Amino acid sequence: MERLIDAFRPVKKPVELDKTASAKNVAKKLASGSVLVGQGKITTEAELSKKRNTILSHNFN
Amino acid sequence: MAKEGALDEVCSLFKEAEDNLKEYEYVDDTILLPAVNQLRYAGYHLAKAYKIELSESPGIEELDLNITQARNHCKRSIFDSSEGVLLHHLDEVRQFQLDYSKIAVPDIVPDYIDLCTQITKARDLIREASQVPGDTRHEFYKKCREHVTSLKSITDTLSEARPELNKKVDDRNTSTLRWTFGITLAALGAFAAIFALMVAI
Repeated sequence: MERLIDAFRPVKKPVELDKTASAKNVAKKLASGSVLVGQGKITTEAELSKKRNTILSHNFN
Repeated sequence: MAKEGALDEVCSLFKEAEDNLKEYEYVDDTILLPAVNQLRYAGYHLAKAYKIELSESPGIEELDLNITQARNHCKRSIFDSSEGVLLHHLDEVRQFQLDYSKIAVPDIVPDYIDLCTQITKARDLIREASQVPGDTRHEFYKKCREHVTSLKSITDTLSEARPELNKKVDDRNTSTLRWTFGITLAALGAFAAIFALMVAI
C-alpha cells in the first residue's frame, strides 16, 4: 500500500531521458522523483507562465 | 465506507481531466506537465483514501478530506489543461491581429467586433484566475471550459477569413507600390524639368 501511495507522489523535475543511460541510472532518477521524458516535448509551468504574460499584455480590441 | 457519489464524481472528473490533457496534446503537440502533476496528486490522495478505507478503524474525516483533495486536484488539472488550450487559441488570435493590423478585418468578418469582445472576456478570465491563490484556482475550471469552446469556434472563423484578408493585403501592397512609383516618377520629372530649365538659362 505504501508503494502504491509513493507511486503517485507528485514530482516537479522533468529530466530528459538519455537513451544510453544504464537501467540503474534510470531507476535512480525515477527513485529521486524525476519525470523521465522521452522523445515527446513538454510544457513546463515556466513556459506556460511566459505564454500567459504575452497574452495578458496584448490588447485584443 | 467512502460515499459512492463522491467517488463517482472524482472518477468522472478524472476522466474529464484526462480528455482535457489529450486535447492540449492535440492542439499544442506537447505534454502539459502542471496538469499531469495535478492528476498525480489526485492519484496520491485516492491511494491514501483507499488505504484508510481498508484499515480496521477508518477515520471518516480523513477519508473525506482525501477524497475532497482528489476532487480538487482533478478540477485543477482540468483548469490547467483548459487554460493551456485557451492560451494556445488566444495566441493564434494575437498572431492574426498582428498579421492584419493594417487591414479593416470587419469588411471580411462582419461580426469581428463581437468576436473581439468574447476574446477579451476569455483573456480577462485568465487574468482573474492568475490573481487568486493557487489552491483555489480549480474553481475556475467550468468557466474556462466554456471559453475554450467559444474560442475554438472564433479561431476557426478567423482562419477561414485569412485567404480573403491576404488578397486585401496584396491589393494594399500593390497600391502602395504604385503610389511610391508614381511619386518617384513625378519627383524625377520635376527634377529633370528644373535641370532642363537651368541648362536653358
